[in-house]
Parts: sequence; C-alpha cells; structure tokens
Amino acid sequence: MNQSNRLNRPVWCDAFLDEGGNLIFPIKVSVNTMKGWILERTGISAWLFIECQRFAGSLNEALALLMGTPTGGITAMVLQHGFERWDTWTDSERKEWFLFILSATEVEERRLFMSLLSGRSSATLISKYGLGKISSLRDIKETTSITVNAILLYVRPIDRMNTQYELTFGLYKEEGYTSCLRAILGEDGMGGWLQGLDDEPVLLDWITDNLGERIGPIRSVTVSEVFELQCDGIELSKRHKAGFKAESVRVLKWLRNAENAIAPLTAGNQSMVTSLEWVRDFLPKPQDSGQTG
Amino acid sequence: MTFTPLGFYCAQADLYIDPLRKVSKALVTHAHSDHARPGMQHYLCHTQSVNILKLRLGQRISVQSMAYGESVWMNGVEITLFPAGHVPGSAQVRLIYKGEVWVISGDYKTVGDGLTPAFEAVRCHHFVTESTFGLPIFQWRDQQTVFDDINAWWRENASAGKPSVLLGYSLGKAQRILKYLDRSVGAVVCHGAIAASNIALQESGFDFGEWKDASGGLASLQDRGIRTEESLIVCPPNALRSSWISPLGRYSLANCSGWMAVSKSGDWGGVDRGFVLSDHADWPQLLEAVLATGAEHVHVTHGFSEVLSRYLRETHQLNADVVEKGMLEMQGE
Repeated sequence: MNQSNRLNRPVWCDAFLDEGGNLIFPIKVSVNTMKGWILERTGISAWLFIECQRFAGSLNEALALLMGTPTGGITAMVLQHGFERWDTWTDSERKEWFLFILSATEVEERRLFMSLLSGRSSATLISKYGLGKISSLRDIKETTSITVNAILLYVRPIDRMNTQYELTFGLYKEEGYTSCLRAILGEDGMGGWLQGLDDEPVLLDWITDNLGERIGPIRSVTVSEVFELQCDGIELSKRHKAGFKAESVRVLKWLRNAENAIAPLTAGNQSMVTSLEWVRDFLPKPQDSGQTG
Repeated sequence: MTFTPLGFYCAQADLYIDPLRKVSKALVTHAHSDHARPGMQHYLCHTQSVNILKLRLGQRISVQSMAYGESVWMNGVEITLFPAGHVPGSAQVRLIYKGEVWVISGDYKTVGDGLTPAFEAVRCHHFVTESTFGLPIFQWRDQQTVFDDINAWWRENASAGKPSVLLGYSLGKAQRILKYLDRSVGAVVCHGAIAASNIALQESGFDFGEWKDASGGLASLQDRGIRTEESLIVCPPNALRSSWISPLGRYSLANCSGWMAVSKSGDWGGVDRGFVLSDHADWPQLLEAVLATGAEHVHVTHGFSEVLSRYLRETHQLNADVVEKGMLEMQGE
C-alpha cells in the first residue's frame, strides 16, 4: 500500500511533491487574491462573506464551501500544466485556471489546495496528508537512528472508537521510568494496521483491557509491557525532560515474553529496558559535529 | 395574520400555526416536536401526519386532517395545504382572506427526495419562510451522490467486519435513508424510536424498503440470525447515550445532517464520518422558493433570518423582515 492511499491524499497532490516525496510549492498565490477571485465569481458581498466566515470558522473553509458542488476530474497533470504556464499567464488566465481547479475538487480538497497555493506547510498538512517531511529533520534522519527497548507507560485514544492510540514509552532512569518516545498504533482505516505488527490487534485489545487512571486525555496502563522501538532523527534537547527528542518512532516488536519486565521495577528488568543514560551517551555531542556554542 | 408570543396567529379564523403554547385550535405543518407540541385542544394537519401525530402526542388527541389542495373555511378564511417536501406529511399553509394571500412555509426543501411529495411553490402576497441553512456556504449535493457515499462507507465497514451506525432523526431523515440503502451489503436495523415512526408512516402509505426492528435490543439480533458486523444500524443521536448501543462493541459511526457540511461539525458527537444530507432547503433553494412565490413581503424565521432578510432586501428589493420565534417566546414571558 503506498503512502498516498493510506493517507487518503488526493492524486493531484503529486504535483506538489518532488521526486523524493518532499513538499514543494511550484507557485504561490496569496489568500487575499484567492478570496477576491472567489467572491467575484460567486457574487457574494463583503458583509455576507463575513457572516459565512464567522459560521464556518475559517477563511479557507468559507471559501471552499462557497464554490458549490464539485464537478470532479482533476489530476496532477492538470495542475502541472498550470504550474508550467503560470508565469506567462495574465491575471485573468490565472483566475480562470484557479477557479476551474477549485470547482472540480471536493470541499476538503479545496481547503488543502488553497493551503498549498498559499505556501503553507504546517505540521497539520504534513501529518494529515503525508505531503513531506519537516525540513529541519531531513538531514538528521540520515545520520542518527537508534533501536531501544522501552516500556509502555501511557496511552491516549486518538479516535472515539479506540481504534487508534498514541502510545508513550519510557526508558529506565534512576530506579524509575522517564517517558521519552511516542508512536501511534492501531487500525489504519483501510483494513490494515499502522505499525504493521502481526500482533497489533492483540495489543490493541490488551490496551483496552489494561487502561488505568485518567490523566486529562491520557490514560495510564499497566506498566509491564516492553517493546523494541526504532526511531530516526534523534538529537539532544535542552527542553525535553528526557534530554533528547526523536521522530518517526516505530514499534518493531512487542516483547511479550519479557517476564523480567513486569512491574514493580526490579534489578532484573532494568536490563530489559534501555536506560536513558545509554541513549544520551549514544547521541553525538555538539563538539562531535564541529558545532560550537 | 399576526406574530404573537404563542406563534403565528390568524385572528379572523382564530387559528394558530405551529403554536408554542397550549391553544384551542392548532394547525400543525408537520410532526417534528418543535412544530407539533402537546396540549392543544384541536389539531389540524395533513392526512399523512395523523398517525405520526397520534404516536407522538397520544392516541386520544382531537385531530382533523386535510389532503394537499383541499380547502377548509374558518370564519371566511380559506385554508389550504400544499406539499413542503420536508418530511412525510409536511405541508405549507395558505390562508386567503378578502383577496390577501399568506403562505406559511413551515420547514421545507424544494428538491424532491422520492419519499415525500415534492415542494410546490404557491403564489402569495406574504411569504413566511424558514432559514435554517440561510447562508450561501450551504449548497447540497444531489442526494444520489450522498447515498452512493453512504452505501460505499457501509460496504467498506461490512468487508472489515465492523457494524455501521448511522445517526438520523426518527421522523423523516431515517426513512429517507432507509429508502436508498443497498440491501445487498447486509441487514438494515432500526432503533425502537425509528421503528415506531416507520410503522406509523407505513400505515399512512409510505414505503422505504425492508428493515429489522431492534426495539428488543441489539443483543437479540444475533439470535434472529442477523449478522451485526455487516448491518447498518439507524438510530437517533440520543441512542448513543444509552446502553442500547453497548452490545455492538466496536463500530463505525456516521451522522447524516446538513450541519456536516461545515468541518467543525465533524467533531459534533465525535462521529467517524459526516454525510451532508438535509431535509431543509439550502441557500439556492431558499432563494428559489422565495422568488417563486412572487411575494412582495417576506417574513423570515428559524435560523439565519437576519442574513437572509437583509440579502432579500438588498439584492432583490423585497420587503423582508425577521420573525424570531424565540423573541416571540420571550415577549410572552
């Protein structure tokens, strides 16, 4: 299954990605310009638009809804065609092309399209549609990845039906565990499993059966299960309480037979859970890469 | 015709339309609870509303019914009902007295849904219109597209072995949904409140396909040979707050409502999917209906009344004003 299917990303989004799958912005159109074009086309007056925006809750939402019923049929090639000719077009031609695309797409796609045209690359877009990677992490990923054994401490239900959870794992530190790493686990909405584990459904049931105290949106779970995790882009952090941060945390294996890991913490299971100190020692220090204060 | 704390009132006929409080004679445009309230001495409604009205307000109410196009006279006022297209049995009310014509729309939609008799524009001098979705951001897709989406969602859930739960009001929305479901996917199951409405409407001549009654609880479905994991269960929103839903375990939840058009509504009730399907007129339909009446005076109520009335004044030069039932209610207290 490719990423665009898993994330329900519209096919035309490919026009906004380079060969490496990273987000690019071939052209930029200001939000005010787009708003002007749409209001001119729909004949909506300023006061009426304000009422619409007030109810819809956002500018993009109101503009997307005003364009009415979608006609369908937009491909990445159609967008590419526009990108290539954009600089040679008059304002009128640009407007017609923009309104043509907008009329064809679904309301949700319109919001995305306008966000991309306006040059937005927020984390929401990246995580929801898998449109690229946060630029600051691209270089780090290649240089620093790590595999650790971590213990499951907390879960946060992501959807109402408890089919997905954000899991918080801890590493061993000074006779306790410090929460360090987070990964999402559960159904991917397309009949598969986010982490791709054979026992992911069993793990989901285990979580449901072992939910503990509620701490805001987070639930504690029975502290007993150890997992083998891999993560990319780890680096030292002065702000994170664990002292490092990581991206793309993946669950490689559920170490269900790790009997030594069962709480309360004993000298035996310390060895099952990677210590925080070990990870911090593993990380390159600023002087290693030639950085100075 | 006057707008009073008790609701729309025709003094000449001594008749209230969808009154808010107890009165002697109430003409009810349709059987939704915000229009058909208990406690009136006498009810007048469309023929196809009688069963559902008795179901909701009690078998012993005094009710007289009329067909569409049929007229009754009350103290010189000619009263006629016309289809409103909102839900089964819904009607617009036309009142004629000494040549002046008023039409009270009640709730309506102008696009036919294949279940309820289609809306009919009625020429008049004064038109009282609702404005529930009176903003231009509300523009509905054709219902076949929406039902294709609903059936696809159901099919996907069924193939993953997950029950589908669809929220819809027990009168009107639920039956409209039932009519267009693809029964080849699995069984269609109805909550008790919907089942009761179904029976009342079937007795009034409506047909919306086969369905299973879950009044006895969802746990009993398996005993009756119904595979819940392939079923689509239609229930009103309040069913989610009861233990009725518990036997299902994990399920996919969707809501069918015009409010689902706005993404922030997707979070209302925490549903997994929102299907934009409404029994009210959207913005283009409201404008179409108002203009088709030829009315010089338009009185707007229920919803975005300020917005719609201002738009009609500025863009179509109509004498449009706001009638807020809430305001009327407050004045009476």
